[in-house]
Amino acid sequence: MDSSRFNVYILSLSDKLFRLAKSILQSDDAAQDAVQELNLKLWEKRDKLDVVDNVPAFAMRSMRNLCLDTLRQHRETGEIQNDVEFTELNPYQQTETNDMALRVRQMIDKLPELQRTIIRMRDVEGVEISEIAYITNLTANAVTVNLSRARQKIREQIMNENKRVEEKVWRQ
Amino acid sequence: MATINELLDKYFQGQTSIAEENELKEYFDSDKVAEEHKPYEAMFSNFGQESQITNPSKLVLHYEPAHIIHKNKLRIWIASASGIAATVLVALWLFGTQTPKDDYAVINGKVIENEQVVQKLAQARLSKVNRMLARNLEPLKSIERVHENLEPIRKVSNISDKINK
Repeated sequence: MDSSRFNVYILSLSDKLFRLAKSILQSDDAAQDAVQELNLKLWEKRDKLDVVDNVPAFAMRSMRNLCLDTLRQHRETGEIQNDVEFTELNPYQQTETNDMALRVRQMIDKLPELQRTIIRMRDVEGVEISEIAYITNLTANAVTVNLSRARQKIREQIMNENKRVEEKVWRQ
Repeated sequence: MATINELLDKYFQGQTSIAEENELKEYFDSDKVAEEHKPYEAMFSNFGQESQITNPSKLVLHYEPAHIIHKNKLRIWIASASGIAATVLVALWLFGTQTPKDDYAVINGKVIENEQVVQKLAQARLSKVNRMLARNLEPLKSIERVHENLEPIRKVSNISDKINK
């Protein structure tokens, strides 16, 4: 694969790869570094990319693996905590963000890594279940189960938020 | 309305197709969202917003057109030759001093016996040397330019030599 084809196939995925890395690493800077590192790694292996059937899915899978390795390394050195589990937004976060769409984003950020990766790949990027299965190294059925759980958790959170707002209104 | 409710049920079960999800996205993007569906509006709105996030530091590889390659041919040739010479020297340093019995290399304090790994690491280091050499040969270009610019002065001195004779 020469530089022009590399630009078309890999570098055009830059935004998607960045969004995936940002979702996993929860940091813009770390995501930028990860995308750059992946680009260099893929450039070094560009001769082998010609035999890959689905280059975008391969790049997304490599991006996720690289991010998970980064998280593992940081955990070993104690730089970050283990994966953030699903929790309610604290009162500070609730008052800080009035924009409901932004609150939904925060809710997704609080999901376990696998669920937030799957919900974003499907609902933000519009990736087919079979491709998500390849990227996450799961079966299609496992992807569907995780997707359903993630969406239901977000729905539950939204409903709780709305209930709280209604109660607040009635109390006033 | 039943269709949207049915689609939403399917959606939360993770059973909707991309086309059906696009239908939901279009519905929530419109101004016809029913009151009972309003809570989900923010969810779909967020997906739309997130898809607009872009990588602030995009890298684009540029390749040199043929005429530039021709101009730089000599420089590239010198850099390659230097690279090869450096390869030979480093290879001699890495492998030349070892007897067949002690077939290993020490890299960053680690003893590595796998020949392929050593070769890979050596290649990576050598390409770095190659890049550095190519960069350091850049000033030679200026010398070449000075040489070209001195040509008219040399001609003048030849003429004055002839006149003096």
